Amino acid sequence: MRARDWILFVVRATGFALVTAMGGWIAIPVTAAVWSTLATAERRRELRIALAAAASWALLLGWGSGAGTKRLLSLLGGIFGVPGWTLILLTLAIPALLAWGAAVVAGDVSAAIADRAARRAER
Amino acid sequence: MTGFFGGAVPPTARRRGVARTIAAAIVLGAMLWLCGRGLGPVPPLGALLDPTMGVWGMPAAAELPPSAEATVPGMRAAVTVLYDDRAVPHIFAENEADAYRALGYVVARDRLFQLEMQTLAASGRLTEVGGARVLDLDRETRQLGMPRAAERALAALPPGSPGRVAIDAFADGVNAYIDSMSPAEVPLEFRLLGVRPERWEPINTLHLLNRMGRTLAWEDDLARMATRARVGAAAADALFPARSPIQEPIQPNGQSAPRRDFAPLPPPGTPDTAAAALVALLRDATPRESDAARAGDALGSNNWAVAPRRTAAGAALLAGDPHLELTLPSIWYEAQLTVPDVLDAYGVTIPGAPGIIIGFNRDIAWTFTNTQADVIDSFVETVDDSVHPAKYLVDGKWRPIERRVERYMGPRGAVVAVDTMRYTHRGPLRRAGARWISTRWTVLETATSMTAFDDLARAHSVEEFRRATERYEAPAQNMLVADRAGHIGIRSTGRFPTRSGDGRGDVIRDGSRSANDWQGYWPVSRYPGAVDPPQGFLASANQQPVDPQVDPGYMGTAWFSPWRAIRINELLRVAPPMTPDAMAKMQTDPGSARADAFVPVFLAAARARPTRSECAEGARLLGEWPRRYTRDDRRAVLFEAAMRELDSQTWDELGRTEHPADQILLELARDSASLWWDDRTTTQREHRDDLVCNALESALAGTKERYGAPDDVRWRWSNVATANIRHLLRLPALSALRIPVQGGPSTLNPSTTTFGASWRMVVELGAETRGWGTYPGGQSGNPLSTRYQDRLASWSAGTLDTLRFPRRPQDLPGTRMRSSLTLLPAKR
Repeated sequence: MRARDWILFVVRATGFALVTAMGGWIAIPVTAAVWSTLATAERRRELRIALAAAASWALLLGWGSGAGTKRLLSLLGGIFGVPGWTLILLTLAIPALLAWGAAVVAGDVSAAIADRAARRAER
Repeated sequence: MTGFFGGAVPPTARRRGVARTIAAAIVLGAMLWLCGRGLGPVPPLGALLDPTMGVWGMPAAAELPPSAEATVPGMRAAVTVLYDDRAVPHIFAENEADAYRALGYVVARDRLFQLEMQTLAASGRLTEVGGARVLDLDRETRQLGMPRAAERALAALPPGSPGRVAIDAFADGVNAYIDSMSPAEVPLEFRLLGVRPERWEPINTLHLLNRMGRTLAWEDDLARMATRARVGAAAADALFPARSPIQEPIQPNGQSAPRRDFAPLPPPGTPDTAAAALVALLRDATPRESDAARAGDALGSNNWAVAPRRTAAGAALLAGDPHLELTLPSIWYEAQLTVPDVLDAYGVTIPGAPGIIIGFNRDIAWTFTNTQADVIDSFVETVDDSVHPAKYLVDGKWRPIERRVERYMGPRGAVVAVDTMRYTHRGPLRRAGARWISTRWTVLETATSMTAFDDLARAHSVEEFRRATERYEAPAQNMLVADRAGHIGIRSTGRFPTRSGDGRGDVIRDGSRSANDWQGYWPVSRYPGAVDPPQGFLASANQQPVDPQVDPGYMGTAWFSPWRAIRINELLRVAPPMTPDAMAKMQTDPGSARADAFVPVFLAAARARPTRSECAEGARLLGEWPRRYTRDDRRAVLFEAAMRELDSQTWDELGRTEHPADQILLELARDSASLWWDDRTTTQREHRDDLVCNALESALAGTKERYGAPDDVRWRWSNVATANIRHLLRLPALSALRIPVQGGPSTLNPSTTTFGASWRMVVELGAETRGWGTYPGGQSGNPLSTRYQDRLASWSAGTLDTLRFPRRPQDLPGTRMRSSLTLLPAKR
């Protein structure tokens, strides 16, 4: 990746972190959809947006984690009958999948709309 | 440009694009569903795992901050709350209402989910979190008339009355906490269930007290009636007697040892078909037995007090350990409430109750055991329509039936079910086959018990305490008190109905005659009790309160076998001058009056059947047993197995119906030729020693099969009997399971199931009142807190913590203080 890509990644991750803090998890697909619509020319934009979303939650997790996190993982793992670390994976998968899904759908729909508009204009 | 609706894109690529978009839409839809609504038992994952508002923020809020400040609407002056090193809040307020506001706030801070869960259960609203699968539980609660009773109790508390002020103030405090709670402070359980905490209504306090009533004052007449159906009235009356055949009453009867009023038991008689019909009626009309009703002796409680002349320090001592369901968080919450010149009490409260239930102040200490009185009766009603009755007949006149529509709501607000409940003047009316049965129950008519608790905490002498208890209604309790002047007293307190005829309440009465209604209640002067008895101590453990030779009046039949009472009295009669430490040790005493009574029965049977080698081996093993349920003991397991076998083999005539108490079995053991000993599956006639040997041999074989040879480590009592302290949602990860304890069935510490000693307290009423106590769990209901189960180790070991009882905030040493909270009036 080029420096510009890295900067974009950091901006997106920070943006996702901010909107999560303000609006909760539901802000992730909304933000991803907006970014995807705005960046239809970007290669693999859905994947990049998804990774940025996951990175943002990783950032927030790291920011908020403390001495009690291990105990929390153990408790949650016990409740759901899975190893505690899988909950971290799940937590990172949630924004990634929400962002990817929203980015693909929004990008494709916006592209289709733009395409139709262009063809109508040609006619 | 590529696009999936058309354009200059090859068909294959276009199809791939469409497939990808559809796949992404499916993934997005599934994730939105999972995150927003959850799936089956999986809670909504978005709110749960959100890194800012989900569970990940919880560890940071799991412990109390060193200091905090909050406002509480309605509060009139600032309240200081200091948390000591055991996380107990000491509340210093300027007036009582503010003290209750502060109590509401701190209880919500530590136990918010418990408050909500208990309320839902007590008011028949569990479906709102559990859906249709818990509908039966809610139906039972509502069919018992409990929500209606709480509404009536609330209506009976006029605005401005002390009780109403207390529950309103408590609600202010709870709601102030809910309103100020940060996302990280939302309890884990709410997140797992995907629900938000509700605002606390004053009526919730009354729901909770009714729930305690159901736990402690619910007994039905099914067991005796079912026995009568199988073996006739004479046998049933003897197996479930109103008079306990071993007398060690709460009200001392002047005897220096338990008295055995044993009589030959009538043999099994012919089945009583009329009783069988009544059993069918009762089964339909009676709610399912609660877990508590099945707990037996482990639900019993102990208390005793020793007069100054029998204590080492010359000050009265009091000990109490109520046995209830063991849960995490605990049923109890410790607190101190101080209002200058009005109230200065320390003890345990039930989360939701505005006040100290069991505890002490500067001058007295008090505790309870359950009285086990019969305070519930059934009446067969004559109705105008067997399917949809609107009227019922009393003394030849029709009376209208009150109707009440009950709606059960689901988690998302949909109606799960709708029932029409009916009530006569006696209480809830239920259909039983083609008949209708109404129920009268003191718990449903309680209005002043809640305020009575506050009055107890304000008493300054045994006499004042006893006066304060006179207004108490239900559930009936044996209230024990000791004061600093050296007096001790006990009284079985609550409403005890008087009935016409023979006065018995263990029958179904004809509701068409008003003469069959309750005639009133016992006068307080008749309540069993004593003050400063010559023996120098008082004790209760759910045994029959008064010797029938002193008062033969009917009070009930559900007395526990008095093994714990016998043991307490036995220890106190011979004890050297008592100390607080000795009192605490008694609470986990491993000795067993039951084992002392029954081991000789097994040994005698083996001697009488010398040719039976397996029986002899069992007897040898029991003979070497010191009859103590210590953790390392390797014989208690055999004794318990033998008792189970003896019970099931002896009462085989009764089938699966409830069997008589152990004391009846001991009464029977005097009669070696009773027909009850005969095994109906064999052709020959068995006698006592045959059956006792059979039981011991079966027990030995079964124990060997399960745990190996008698000296195998698996025979250790701690391997067999442990306490299981379950989380309110029954989640193993949040529970404390297989906790070793010293004690066993019918010992002073029968905490080897999910029931047991829920709070242990010892108080010395000397120049300064000193208290010690613990309970299984911790002050915090947050599983992430170090205070969630920090007391389990001391509870398991049978040790008590010193309870700090500062007069003023500055009296709590800084080294003992962990956190402070200042609660301020809300700005107008």
